[in-house]
Amino acid sequence: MTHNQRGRCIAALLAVVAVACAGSDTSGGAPATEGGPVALRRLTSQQYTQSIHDVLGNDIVVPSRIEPDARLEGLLGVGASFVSVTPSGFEKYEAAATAIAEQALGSELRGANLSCEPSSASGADDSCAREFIATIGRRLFRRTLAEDEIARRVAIAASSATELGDFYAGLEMALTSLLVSPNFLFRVEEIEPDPADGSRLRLTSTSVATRLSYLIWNSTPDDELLDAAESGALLNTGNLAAQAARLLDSPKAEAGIRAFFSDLLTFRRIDEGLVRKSPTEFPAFTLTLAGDAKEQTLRTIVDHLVTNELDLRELYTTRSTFLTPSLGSVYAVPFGGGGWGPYEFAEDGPRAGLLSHVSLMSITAHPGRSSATLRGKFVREVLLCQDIPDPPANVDFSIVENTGGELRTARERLGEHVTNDACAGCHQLMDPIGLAFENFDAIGAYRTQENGVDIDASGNLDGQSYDDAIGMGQALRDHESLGPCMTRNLYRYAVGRNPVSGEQALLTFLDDRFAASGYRWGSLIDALVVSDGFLTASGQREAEEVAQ
Amino acid sequence: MKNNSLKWVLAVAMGFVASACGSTNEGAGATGGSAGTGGSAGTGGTGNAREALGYVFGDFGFLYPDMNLETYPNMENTDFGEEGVRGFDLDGQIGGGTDPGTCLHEDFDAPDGTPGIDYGLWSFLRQFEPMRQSQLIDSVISSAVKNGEMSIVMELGGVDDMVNDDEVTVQIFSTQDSPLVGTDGQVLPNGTLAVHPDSTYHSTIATGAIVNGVLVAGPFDVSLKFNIQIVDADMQLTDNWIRLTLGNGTASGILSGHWSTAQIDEIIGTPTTQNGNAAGFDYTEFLAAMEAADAGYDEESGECTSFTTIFRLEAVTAFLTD
Repeated sequence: MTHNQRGRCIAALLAVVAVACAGSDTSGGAPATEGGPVALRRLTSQQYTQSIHDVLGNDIVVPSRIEPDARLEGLLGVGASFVSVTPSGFEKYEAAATAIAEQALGSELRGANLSCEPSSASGADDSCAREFIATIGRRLFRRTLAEDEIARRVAIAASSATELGDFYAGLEMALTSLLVSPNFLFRVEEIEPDPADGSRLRLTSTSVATRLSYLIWNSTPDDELLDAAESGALLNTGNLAAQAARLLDSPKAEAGIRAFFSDLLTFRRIDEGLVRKSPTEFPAFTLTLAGDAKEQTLRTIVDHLVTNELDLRELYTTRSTFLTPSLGSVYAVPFGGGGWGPYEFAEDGPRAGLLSHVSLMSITAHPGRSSATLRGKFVREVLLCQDIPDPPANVDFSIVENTGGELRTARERLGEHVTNDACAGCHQLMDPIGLAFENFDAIGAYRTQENGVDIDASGNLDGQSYDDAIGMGQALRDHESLGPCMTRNLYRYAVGRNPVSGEQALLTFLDDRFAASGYRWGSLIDALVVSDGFLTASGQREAEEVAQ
Repeated sequence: MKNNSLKWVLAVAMGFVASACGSTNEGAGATGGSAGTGGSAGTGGTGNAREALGYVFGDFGFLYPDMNLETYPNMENTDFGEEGVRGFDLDGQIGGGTDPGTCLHEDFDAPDGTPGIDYGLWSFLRQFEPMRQSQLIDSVISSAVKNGEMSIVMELGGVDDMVNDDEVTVQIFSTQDSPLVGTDGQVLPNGTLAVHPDSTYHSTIATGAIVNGVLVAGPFDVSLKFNIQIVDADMQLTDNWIRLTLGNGTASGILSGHWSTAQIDEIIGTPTTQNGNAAGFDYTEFLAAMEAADAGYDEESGECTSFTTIFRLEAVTAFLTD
């Protein structure tokens, strides 16, 4: 048993003990809370792909052209609760479903996906079709299919098989029908009255299973979790905690934590080629480098939080990371070999923490220059959950954009820019933070000067002074809002919406638990998934409601 | 020496010293410095870091006395002037003389009027359009140093001062690694490359000095491994001298030495004319042109068996490992 597994088991055991000791207090002292409204949550493209792979096999090539995801309140995970499927989007899903069904039931993969042998390959076999539809359909819909849902698709398979003279072609039609169903494309969060308290609404056990699975695996529940849900076992928070521990112990949990941090850190922008750099000014920023940069940060996070179970706050100070030769070139450190390997940035070097990575320094910069403002905004909004208003429409950015003028450094240019009172208020929140990273150019390469002038990276983060990015990382690590903000972001990601007002006490409780554990990731998950906020709801979200 | 250059060198040196002093790595055990940071060693990666200043060639090819300087802006004020060739007087004679055991040839003058600059291969190259600047052969070689078909790295040893240093060494290696190439098509600095595991492709060590930022060192022999399209061979250059202008993370200049006619035939003549005549040479004319060889007098045959050559090169800093 690994250290990680032991940790999970102890956490699960503690949860069970807590349940036994606390009687009806099933969430370890968490304040009674009514969760916010539930909604239909469309699978993100990553969830769609991962679900297909988990249900029909990793050999399936999932078409990438499906309905694009929408980011809302900083998270795709929240945006997914507020999107539908457009007519053109449906066509894309239908095309994808057809392609997937052809592969899943093609001669190479059908053996792995179909447990029965049809009585005839050239015609209908309702029994075998039913078995397939019921089994695969349960995994796709994340619940057992109703009889009419099965019968309808058995009929589709039969008529198509008869017409086409091919059992498998007929079954492909039935599978396509499953894959374009809203029951697959959307996570349908259903609620029911809580028998213990008729005034409360709770998620059904299958909806809890789905929330749990997509939170931890970013994919569909497996059979064991569905069994636990449909047997009612999951309604017991001890069992729920045990299932959460099992999921966290699975290798699939890495995909879950990667998905959350990719979402939070807006890495989709790298995937979609939206982080661009001037090819003449930053020739090192190749597609390979961009992909490696994202992967570096995700590997660092997984290694830190999952493999080594370290304090989340130290993600902003750690010198441990992973590199490739292309990253080594930008970091100007020797790193040979053909692929990935661990690396420790020098103790007295200029880099420590995620905010010194190429990924985040590139995302929070312009194509041709760094941006202290974007970097400061990122820290305030994403890492500290502080709102920064959008700039006025008539702002004159010419001073900050003129890097070749008399104002040689970003600090000088921004200093001039904020003489405009309309800008000063917000910039004073962002710029001192962002200027700490001015030693990193638009792709995160280290520099000591800008336009021949030494860079001053000193500043102050809400009372804690620093001299450079290393000090800024330490100030961020010590900031009182860092832990609560991560709790809030994970909570929003888990429930697919911003917290409602009644949930603040719960967030405070979760953060206390998180802090008490030394900011261990697993502890936050453990506490979150048995909380009322995760398990209860105020009702179905009305169509016209927007994110709060 | 520019301040930044010194910092860079010091940082690299500190890194390598630190790595040599036993920093550990759970993985492959390699260590190295953090160039440009002033920091000490980071740890990680593969291969054992070498204790000298490394470079990787970003461009390499024949020097064209009539070259377009707009194409090679870095060559301006370094190794080529419109009024002469800044090569080397390899044989110590003006014109090669007429005595037995010498090869009669015409020399170039350097821009400052210094006579005796040897570049016999130019008389050969200029006869064949595919060998002219930016034509087939030039393009193939230029691409080969970038795409891994003919990757070359270089190590400067004993450098205490990048502007003036009276005792430095130069060693050139082939590498099986491909340099990193940027979106502008140029080789990127600070890549990590391993010198070729076969010492055949390690040059002899040249000694020299840096004066006012220009390094001159020699003589040395080098065998460069390459595998370009249909040609898998070694390029053997002997009795070479090198002149490099050292910049902030760059080195550009020339490598001048001797290249045997047999090798030129093996590497260019035979394969390019006998495999679909890809280069478009008349092989008979090719062989005839080689009779203008200006060096390597062979007493037995009474023939001159090699050309004096000048190759241009541009390099950027790199981390080298064994």
